[in-house]
Amino acid sequence: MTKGKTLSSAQFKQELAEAIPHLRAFGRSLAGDRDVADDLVQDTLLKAWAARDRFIAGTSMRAWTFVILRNTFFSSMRRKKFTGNYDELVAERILSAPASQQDPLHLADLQRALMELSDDQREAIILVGAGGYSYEEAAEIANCAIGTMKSRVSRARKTLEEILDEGRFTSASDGHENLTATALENIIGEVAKIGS
Amino acid sequence: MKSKDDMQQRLGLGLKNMYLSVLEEPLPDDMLALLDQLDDADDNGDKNDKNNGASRSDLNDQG
Repeated sequence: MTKGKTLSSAQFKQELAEAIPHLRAFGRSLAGDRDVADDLVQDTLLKAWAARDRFIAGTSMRAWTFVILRNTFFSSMRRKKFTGNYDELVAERILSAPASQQDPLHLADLQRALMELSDDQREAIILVGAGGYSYEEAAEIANCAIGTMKSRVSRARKTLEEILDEGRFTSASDGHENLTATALENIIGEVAKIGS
Repeated sequence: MKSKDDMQQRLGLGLKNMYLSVLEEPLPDDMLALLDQLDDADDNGDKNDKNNGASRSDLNDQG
């Protein structure tokens, strides 16, 4: 089996920088909080850089880094480092973003409703419904079967519709646990380790 | 009363708008600075490698 071609540091850095806006959008939708999401992106950048010899030139940097970000998020959720929650300030800012359609959804409600979904369903609807990934690509990122991805998206759509139709929010979308200091400390430590 | 299709369409547009609004934000300086810092750390590592005979993979083996 032949090893794929890798990128030079400069090329890798450029492709990684181009992926950052998408990582932020994916992370924000997943975590529901701007600061937590940005810490998540910084963790992802560190891990991607450390593993750059494994990235194959010509493949999708965005998809590759999305896998790192979602794995970091779910593994940190298990350790309670990052906590998915609803950020009211972010929602207000999103609400003020120009909407191109008539009778738009109240985007603050949508952000909040997303946090009512299970993590798997939220990830699925973000990848397919917001990020524009095909079911196949999304399944690859989430490391599940295509049928599972389709099912998650379908259930997520149904649940979101019900929540938004009925305004049925629970306290699940109200939590605020900000543990970003620990994340930042980890990042500084990782940089020091790589540079030493 | 709005139809199911209408709701699906609004939901799709809402999700895309939410995602796009983040894409359009300026990048935080600290993220680009982090990449520069990693690149610089690499350059320094390469110089040390030449002096010490260590390979780059030694620095990258973090999973």
